[in-house]
Amino acid sequence: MIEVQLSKLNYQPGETIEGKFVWKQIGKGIRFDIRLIWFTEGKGTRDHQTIQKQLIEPIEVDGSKSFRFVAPTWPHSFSGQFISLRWAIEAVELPSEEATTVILVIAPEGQEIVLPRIDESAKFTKPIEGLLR
Amino acid sequence: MIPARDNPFASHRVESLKYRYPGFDFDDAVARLEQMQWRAAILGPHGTGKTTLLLELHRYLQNSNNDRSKPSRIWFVPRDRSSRNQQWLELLEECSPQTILLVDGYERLSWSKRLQLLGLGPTWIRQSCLPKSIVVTTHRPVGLPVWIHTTSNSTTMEELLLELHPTASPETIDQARKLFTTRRGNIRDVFWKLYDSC
Repeated sequence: MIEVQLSKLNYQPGETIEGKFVWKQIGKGIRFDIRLIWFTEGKGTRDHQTIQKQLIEPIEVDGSKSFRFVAPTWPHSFSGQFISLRWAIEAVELPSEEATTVILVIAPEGQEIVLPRIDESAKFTKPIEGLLR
Repeated sequence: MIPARDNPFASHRVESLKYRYPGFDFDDAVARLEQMQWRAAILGPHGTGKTTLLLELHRYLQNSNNDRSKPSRIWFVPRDRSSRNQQWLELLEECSPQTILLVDGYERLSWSKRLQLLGLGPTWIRQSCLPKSIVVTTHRPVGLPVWIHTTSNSTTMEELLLELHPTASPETIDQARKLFTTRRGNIRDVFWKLYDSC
């Protein structure tokens, strides 16, 4: 049994993400990669990237270890009609690559940015300030 | 508006579906694949579950709790030629003869690459690194024995629809039925269109 414990789930860019990884009754030779990742969900091809990671090599059958990452300044968690970008802490068991995931929000004010639905009638009718002059 | 992450027809949800068809049993199918020595093709038209079945097979092979788990590598052959060639080189480096290679979009490969994967390429490649076991998806016969011939029907489509979206309205189900007909049984296309309706 493994568990990723975090004191909170909403972070601002630059903030420290501190957590504890707990394992119980694990087999010999198993290692864990704790990763800070982002990934996309929605329509079409998915994308993902590992930003920071920390390897944990348990010596005992039961135990725990603290980990720490710094929330990157970019990209921010957001959600729109066609794509959502989500951050997560992923504990990946090696060599099986089985993952346990905890979803986070990394964005200003610690709140996911929600994009408005595209208004079909308004599309391309107004120049975007600063982009088209 | 439903955020993309919660859309019932988002790619990650559709890709996690299990292949289903009346009478299909995954364990029986894997036993048959073992008899075929893991050299086979999944054959069928667009949107009938070829990739779904290949992904399910990949998950099965990767599951360490499963007695039959084996080293496997799935390759989605890109449409773009330069990416395809780059990934081909990476594949040659990563795979060993013991790896079970799962190839989605086998027909996008050049004849020379296909021959190499079938073990008919130059001897130095054949002996050094390419996997001996290969399962591919294809729309036409490609010289490998057919493991599963995929087809679709509207009953299966509706079952999958309700698995993705248990609270789908009668209007959505009706729309899906119409799309299934106009899209000539392509279930992936049906879900792609329904995504926009949410």
